[in-house]
Amino acid sequence: MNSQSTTNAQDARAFYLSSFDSLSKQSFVNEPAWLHEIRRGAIERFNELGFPHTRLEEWRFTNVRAIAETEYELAAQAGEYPAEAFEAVRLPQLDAWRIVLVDGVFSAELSSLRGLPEGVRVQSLAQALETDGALVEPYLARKGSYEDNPFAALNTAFMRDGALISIPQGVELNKPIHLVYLGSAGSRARAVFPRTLVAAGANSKFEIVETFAGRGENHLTNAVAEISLGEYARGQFIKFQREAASASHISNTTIDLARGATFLHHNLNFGGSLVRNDITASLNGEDVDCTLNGLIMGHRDQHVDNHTTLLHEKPHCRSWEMYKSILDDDSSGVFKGKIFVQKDAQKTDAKQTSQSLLMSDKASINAMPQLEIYADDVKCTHGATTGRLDENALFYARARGIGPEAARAMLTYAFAAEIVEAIDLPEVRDELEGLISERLPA
Amino acid sequence: MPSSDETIQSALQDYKYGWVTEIEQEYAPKGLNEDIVRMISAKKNEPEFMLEWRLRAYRHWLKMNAPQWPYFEYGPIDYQNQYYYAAPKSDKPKPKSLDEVDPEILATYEKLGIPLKEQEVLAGVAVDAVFDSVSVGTTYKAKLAELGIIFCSFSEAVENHPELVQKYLGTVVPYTDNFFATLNSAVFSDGSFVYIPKGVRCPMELSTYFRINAADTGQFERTLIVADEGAYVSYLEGCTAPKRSGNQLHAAVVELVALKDATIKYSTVQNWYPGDKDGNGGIYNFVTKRGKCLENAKISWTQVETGSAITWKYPSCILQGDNSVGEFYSVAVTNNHQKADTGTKMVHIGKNTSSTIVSKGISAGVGQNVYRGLVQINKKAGNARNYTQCDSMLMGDKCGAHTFPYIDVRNNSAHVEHEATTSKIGEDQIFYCQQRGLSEEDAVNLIVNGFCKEVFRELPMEFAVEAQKLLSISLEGSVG
Amino acid sequence: MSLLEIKNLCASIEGKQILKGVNLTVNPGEVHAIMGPNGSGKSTLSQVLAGNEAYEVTSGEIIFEGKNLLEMAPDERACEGIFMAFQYPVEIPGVGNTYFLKTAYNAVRKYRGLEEVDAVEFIKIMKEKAKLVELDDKLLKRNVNEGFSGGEKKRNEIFQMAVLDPRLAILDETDSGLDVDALRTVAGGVNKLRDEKRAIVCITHYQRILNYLEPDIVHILADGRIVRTGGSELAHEVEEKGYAWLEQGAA
Repeated sequence: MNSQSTTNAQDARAFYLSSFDSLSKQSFVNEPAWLHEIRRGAIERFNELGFPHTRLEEWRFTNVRAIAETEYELAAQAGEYPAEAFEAVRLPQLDAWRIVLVDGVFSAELSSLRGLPEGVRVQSLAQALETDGALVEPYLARKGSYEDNPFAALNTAFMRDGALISIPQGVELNKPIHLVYLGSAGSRARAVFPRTLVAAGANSKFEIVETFAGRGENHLTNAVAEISLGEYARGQFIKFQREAASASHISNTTIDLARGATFLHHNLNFGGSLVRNDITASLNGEDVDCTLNGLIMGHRDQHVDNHTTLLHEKPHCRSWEMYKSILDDDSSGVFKGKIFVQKDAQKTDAKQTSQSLLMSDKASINAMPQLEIYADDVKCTHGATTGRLDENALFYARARGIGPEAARAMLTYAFAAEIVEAIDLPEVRDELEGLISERLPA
Repeated sequence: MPSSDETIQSALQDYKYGWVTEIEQEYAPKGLNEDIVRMISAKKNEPEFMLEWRLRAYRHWLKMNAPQWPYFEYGPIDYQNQYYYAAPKSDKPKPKSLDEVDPEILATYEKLGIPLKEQEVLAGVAVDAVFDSVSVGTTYKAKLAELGIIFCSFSEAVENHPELVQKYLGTVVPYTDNFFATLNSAVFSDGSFVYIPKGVRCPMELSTYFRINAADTGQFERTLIVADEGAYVSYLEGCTAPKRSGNQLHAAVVELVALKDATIKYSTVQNWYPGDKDGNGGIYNFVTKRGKCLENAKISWTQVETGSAITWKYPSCILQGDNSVGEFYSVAVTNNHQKADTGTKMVHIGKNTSSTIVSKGISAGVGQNVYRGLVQINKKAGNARNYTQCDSMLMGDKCGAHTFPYIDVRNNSAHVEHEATTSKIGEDQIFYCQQRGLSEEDAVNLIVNGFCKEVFRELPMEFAVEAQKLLSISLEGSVG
Repeated sequence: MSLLEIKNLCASIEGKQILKGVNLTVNPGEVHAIMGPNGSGKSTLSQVLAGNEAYEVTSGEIIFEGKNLLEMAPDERACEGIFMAFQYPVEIPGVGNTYFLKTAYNAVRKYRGLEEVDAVEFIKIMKEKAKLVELDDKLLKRNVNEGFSGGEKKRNEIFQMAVLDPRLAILDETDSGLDVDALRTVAGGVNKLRDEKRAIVCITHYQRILNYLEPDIVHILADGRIVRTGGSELAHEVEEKGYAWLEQGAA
């Protein structure tokens, strides 16, 4: 390790505590009191929790020591992001409103937000906090979402900017919103703490694509997204994680769904060396439909860990979950999916599937599909399979003249196809197909 | 239809094994220290290696904490406020044959439906009866000895076959394994020992019947079964305890060793006292069961868990040898305040190993039922196979069913499949049965027995019938 | 030159010897039937011809159009013009029937030095061939064999044969599990694909498909060897007397 490293967790904590103190005297000094209150609560919680270790059940298979031991650069200044690199990730074919942040700082230049319908806000979170704090307050960190997660606590303590997306009651967006978090290349390991807030009013409709495209090796993205849908709102959220090969990506997403809401979440992982996503959806009203889908395309020595929680709080809700992991080379995957059905949540219909494909003899997977059920009139199932490509199908394809690599590629793609097909935006589907194809056996 | 409370009451009265045998008992002083460990070892005339092993375990235990991860909370257990040794007092040193066993005890087993007389009902099943801390008699010993089969109490094995005990004790569950197994290693009082020689197929079912009688007594028995190369044995275990208001700890250890080409079938019908309808009393059943399979060997666990206030056990298979096979079939019922956290671990180490897990959980009342399992395919375990099916059935809206499988695959030639479902008992099915003339209770029994069929099928005949009866008793009054 | 020449072929699976010296010569335009009781090695022969790596060829030769077939991978054999209709067609979830077949079709064309066809043109070809076996258009839109009935799967195999236009088609128990109507349709499809350049080897337990296919030559395979060869009358003899008399004769 280099000179930026510290040796133990105590020091790692001290680094963030002292950084917080100095930021409190500088950058955070003009913030409203309520915001500072939230920050202080979060850093205190982080101090109590410390960095997680693998003796904790939730972190058994993911070791974050490398993150804890790195003293990242925390300053928020945007670096250079080459135009052609931006072009490659901005989904040019997608007609969308774009909000772009570079190294955690809003870039008006790269964003294109003209023509938003009346009342719809898509803007820099930092700007919103400055001008309309009252609008943000009810949505920001309102459920104490960092209570159990030190990374979410750190994000809350150190967040600078991000995106605020607010859609008033009854507004149906006719174009998707593309939220792009770019990370520039840089010599020092940098940490950014992006924060995404989505508040969709009753009967509204939206589609959001969120892209993380980092170029900085050894950098850390520690992101938090808070998404809430009002009654009968409909939303789709697609997350593309395309960080640099040696970067760490940690994200915490909380989703609150009111009565009758319909929500689809797609968690698509391609980049990063150490990746951990926590996604928690609370079905807080009756008659909610919630889908959580995920794809891991692991290669090299990537480690991708997805933890999802579906909280069925009210009766007559339906949830579907489908996670697919394709792991090649030395990569490792973790899937922990918890379906929690509360006492009141009668007539819950929950179905979870996790499937893993091990492409190499060094790849590995840990799957923990869990059901915790306190209501009796429910239908809950989960299924998990792990294996390699079906030999019979491979032979069948080859007996029809298809070469061995092409046959493997075809079947591997087919394995991922369900995830692709569930995405409701053709341009995004094409992009995803392309990204998958790049990783298929040559 | 009677109210559910009434029927639950009657169901509880139906814990028909809740009486106490009035018999003079001999106790070690309450509490646990090195002297108690030495005393237990001395009582049993153990050789030095056993005492050493116990003391190592005891010293290790002092440094351990009770596990925090099980799903349920239970009050702290005061390890100093219970007896670690209780035995029926007898003037004679030890009964030499069944005829010398205290008639009170024989009557107890008679009443439990386990006559310790060879010519009676359970002909074809050899029984080792464990009463509190000691084995009180073993049937069919002579007949088995003709084949070279050793079936005796653990104490006798230590006395008569110390070389076998020393060779295998702790090789599957080391004394450092976990809090309760370590405690057991220090203070275990008796249990059963089985050795099946090379190539011998044991001609009858071997069975141990455990009975806790004394109050405030922990029962720590230890079972060791060794099937030598090519041997076969089917072993059954049953348990009951009197109704008492306090909780009693039962921390057993079972070790199975299946050498090359051997097969061990181990069946349990666990019916410890579950406590009353408010959750008072009952047995804490914290048990470590594990088997090791060498090449081509097979270990099959079948369990029907209807009793105990809390059950915490994971009969497991270490599939060390190539082509070895592990199986786990389980029915766990929790009614009233019962809690069960049970499942299995299948650890695939050898090539072409395969395992099957079928778990059926039934929750009623305010019972909580957890399946917790691990399927681990190690790096060198080429072509390993696992199939897991976990089904939970819920009756009533105050119970819970939870499924926590861990699937850890590090070899890409593995094929692992896990399926789980949780659903309510089918109202339409109950109605259909009722329409055809069945009472609601009969309908529930019919449906639940159907739900558990895959597991009951694995039990030896006599036990399967017993298990079905127990299941109906456990669930009486749970629907309505 | 003969199309296919099998010389003293011996093959095993998981160490068990199944084929114990098979000799067979097939010329262009011929229809051969290979009949035999269960376990005689019929399916092993077709799997070995298609190149299934689960089977080990322990000795012998297979020459296809002068080339050593045993040195070729399964896909090369397919591109050379060998088609096997599987006894149990494999379901491939997530792969569309049309996409699968187009990929195969273009792989074969590329191998033969022909230009690949685009989707529009391919669909035309497909539609035309689908009529041959009365294959429902809807099946083309589904995933490969997924959720197909037994009869639909077999029809799909013959449909693929029609599209891929092989030199040698091996029908592995294509008649099994078909009712009379389905059998007639499938056999009718095969008959339409008969020509002087193509050879067909029909592997079957029963004589009934041969009523439709009218083979030129009938072989009886028993215990890993061809024990009798004759005309279509041999098939009728099997139908009447079963296989026992042949096996006795072979011993």
